[in-house]
Amino acid sequence: MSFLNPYFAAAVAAIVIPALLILYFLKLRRREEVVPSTLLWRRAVQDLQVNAPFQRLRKSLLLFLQLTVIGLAVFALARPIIQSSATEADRLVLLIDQSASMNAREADGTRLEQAKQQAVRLVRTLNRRNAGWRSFLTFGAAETRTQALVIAFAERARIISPFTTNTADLVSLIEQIEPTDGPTDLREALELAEAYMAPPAMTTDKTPVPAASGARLILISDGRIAHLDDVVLKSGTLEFLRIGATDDNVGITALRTQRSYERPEQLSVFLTVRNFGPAPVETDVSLYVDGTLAMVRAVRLAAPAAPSAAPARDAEPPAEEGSSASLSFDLPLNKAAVLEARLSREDRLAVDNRAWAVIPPPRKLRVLTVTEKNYFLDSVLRGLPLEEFPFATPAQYEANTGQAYEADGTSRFDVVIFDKVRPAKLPAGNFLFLGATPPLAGFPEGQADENFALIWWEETHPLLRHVALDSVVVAKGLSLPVPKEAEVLIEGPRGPVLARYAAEGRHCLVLGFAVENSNWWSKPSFPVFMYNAIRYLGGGAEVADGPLRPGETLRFPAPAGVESLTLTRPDARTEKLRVDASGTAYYGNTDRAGVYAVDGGLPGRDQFAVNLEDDWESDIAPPPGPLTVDRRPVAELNAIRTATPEVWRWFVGAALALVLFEWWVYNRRVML
Amino acid sequence: MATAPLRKPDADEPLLAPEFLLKLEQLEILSRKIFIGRMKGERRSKKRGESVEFADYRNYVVGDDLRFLDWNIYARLERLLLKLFLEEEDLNVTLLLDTSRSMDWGNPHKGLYIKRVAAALAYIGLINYDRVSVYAYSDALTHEMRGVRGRRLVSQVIRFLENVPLKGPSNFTAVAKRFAVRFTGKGVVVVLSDFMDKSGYADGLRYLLSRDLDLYAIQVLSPEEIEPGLAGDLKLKDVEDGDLAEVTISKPLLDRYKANLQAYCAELRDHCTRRGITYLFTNTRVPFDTLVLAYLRQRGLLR
Repeated sequence: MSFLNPYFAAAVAAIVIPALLILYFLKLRRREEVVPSTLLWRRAVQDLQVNAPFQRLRKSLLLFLQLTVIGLAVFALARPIIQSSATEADRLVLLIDQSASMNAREADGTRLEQAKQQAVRLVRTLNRRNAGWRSFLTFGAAETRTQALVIAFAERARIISPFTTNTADLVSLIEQIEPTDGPTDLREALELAEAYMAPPAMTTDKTPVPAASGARLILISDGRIAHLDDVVLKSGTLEFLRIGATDDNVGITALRTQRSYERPEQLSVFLTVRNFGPAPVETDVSLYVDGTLAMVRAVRLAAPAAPSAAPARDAEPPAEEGSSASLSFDLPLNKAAVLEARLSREDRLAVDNRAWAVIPPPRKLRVLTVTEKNYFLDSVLRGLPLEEFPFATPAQYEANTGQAYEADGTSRFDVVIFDKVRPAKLPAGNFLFLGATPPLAGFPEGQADENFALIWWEETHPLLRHVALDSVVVAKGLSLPVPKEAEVLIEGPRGPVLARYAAEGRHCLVLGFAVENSNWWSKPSFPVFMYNAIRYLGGGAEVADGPLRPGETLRFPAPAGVESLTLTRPDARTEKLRVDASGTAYYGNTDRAGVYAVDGGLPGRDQFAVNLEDDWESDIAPPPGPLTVDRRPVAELNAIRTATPEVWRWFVGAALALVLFEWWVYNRRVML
Repeated sequence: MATAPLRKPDADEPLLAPEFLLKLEQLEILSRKIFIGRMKGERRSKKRGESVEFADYRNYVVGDDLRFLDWNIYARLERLLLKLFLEEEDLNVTLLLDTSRSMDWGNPHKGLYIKRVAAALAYIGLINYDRVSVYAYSDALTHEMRGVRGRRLVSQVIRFLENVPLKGPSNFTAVAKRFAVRFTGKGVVVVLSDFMDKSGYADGLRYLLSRDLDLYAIQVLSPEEIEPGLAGDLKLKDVEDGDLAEVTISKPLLDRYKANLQAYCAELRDHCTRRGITYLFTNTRVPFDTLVLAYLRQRGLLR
């Protein structure tokens, strides 16, 4: 305990206590009482006074009580505080959770706001006593001051303030911590803290490096932290300050869209809504296309059967029957759009009530085939849903009259198939080589090979999905000495047969044999492969592998010659992005969910949707029981109720109680 | 603490109730010493005299009363022998009452209490044909009724006792000195007082002892003096001389007071016992008839 106001209290005590004593000595108004004889009384008083000069004070319970009351009041005036942080460790690390679940609204402000408040209160208690009476007593002798390090973490950890004793700086820096929608990862935060806590390995002078005293780490979080058992705490002691108590949340945990390949103007939307709250809920799910309401459906969700306290993130909480619902929508959408799904119900966590998807425009592919003549290709392409599939001879292609095939170094077709043709040069674009190799610097020409079967193929790759190559025999083909960067998809006895290679804006799929030189044309797997290949090259490859999560890096390809792009964040702030040498701008600060769009990017690649889609973060109910880190329970700190945990009320209360007691004693007239 | 209730709560009652008087009829005042009375009484005396109780013979000398010659002896022995009878004489019973202000105190009231005891003793004395003198004193002998004898004067004595006011400071030493000078007779002297005298009691008792009297000291204290119900910061005022004592009543002080009182009474008792004075301490809470009928008989004052 220390005091905020010791001098004032000392002054008050210096005045009041002597005054009380003087009052007791001087201004004692005695009641007159007639007795038959004062003889014995005098003797008794004399006897007592002979014993001790201060007998009267010592025996006077009333005076004692009054002194105690004054003492308590003076204590209260001194504004005692309990240093709840008890900053015995001279170094304190505050780990502030700023993940998505910390955006849950509590009774007063969001969890993050509460966490920041607690952090500020903790920081304010630091070094308090140094300014107080103790430094006065030690005549300002140097005292070890508590240094605090503040780290905010969600998916990534960030140093808010390095070790410092400057409380004002710490407070202002803590106030500036902003919410994010990222997942929670404590490991990086602890690694960062340990890096800062470690003593410098070398010092410039010869002074020995002091042994690192274990710092005190205080984790301010709602406890929704994944992978806690994987976290290793190397030094210091970890304490946990729990924030948040609400659990009412319904969230969109998945949003997927798909254009039908056959009917591209039809958009399928798949949506998972899950109830994390304790009670069954009913909510409307609305779909907005470019901000206009397109569809609404009501959904009823039961309460989760068991308290959602999955011990680890890996064990995905089982979707209890009825507590989550998967919805699918089909809506016609024949243009590019931003789709937004919205839950109408107000709950504690707002971020997962909305999810976005950027819908590309419907597009049928245009495929150019460069070949002398190939009946098999013609018949296969005829069966695919393509916009057009013209054929060109190699001579026609090289002539490129009227820039019909390429312009400005870019192919005008979505996919170009070179059938046993090796063009002189290759524009940017997507290419399928059959029985030939691309004329690229890193890609050597193939060696002729004969009569081989296919030995191994990557069955899980989208290109080879549902493609059975067991009985395919190649009469004449090439074995491909592919560059290292290439992805080998099929291997023959003497090397790769199918490889995917991308370089300098050219995306090539190289097959080491022509289809008519094998028996593949007669197999059902050949049209399937062509379907996969054209779809993959013509657009499927560029579709993001999954939804973007907060914290992931966005990649904006820029048109040639553009040096910078203007990015508009979901919170309407804009940022300038520099385009690097490869013609791409990167943006990593995707800490909020929403649509990130750039001005002047490539059409179709100029906006991305970042969604929370995280069961773990959406489940905002605080985990029951003590937090375990590294399979050990973590001591829990009590939240600091007031900015400075002052305890003067207790003293005033005790003083009042004593006043009552004194009154009772006075009236009881029995002096001890 | 209000003092009013302490004053004479039963002042209207007669000093002695009739049924109590009946009991007193059985009693008489004893003296451990046999004194020479002034008049013929109902008490055996050392003197040979004219009672019916035969004591001795002696030879006749000229001048003796011829009435006491034993003529039968003379007829038989032809010698003149004089019959000697035991003389029956009266007893001087003197009651010294402290009627200072401090006796006007207590519940039961100290003044009334000693008046009743005095009345009872006087009654016993009167019905036994003793010479009863009652002196009331404060700082001097203020009221006196001397040499009363005979049953018919009982009412007078009682009226005298009723009318004695309780006032003035006490000064036992001066009173005892004065009494010793004035009182020439011998007999039983009963001092009724609280003996709370700032001048002390030792000198006074010595003056009385010098007269070779059969002394009785009866100390009467009220319950309020024995167990004071006082509390707080008080200015204690002595009812007699207005002396002020500032005290803060605390348990140690109360304990000390009680210890002092005990010591004071014990000292008085020792003082009396050592000098052949019969000492009796009484609380006014003890019914005075009990005191008279039981305690005084035990002490040998009454039979």
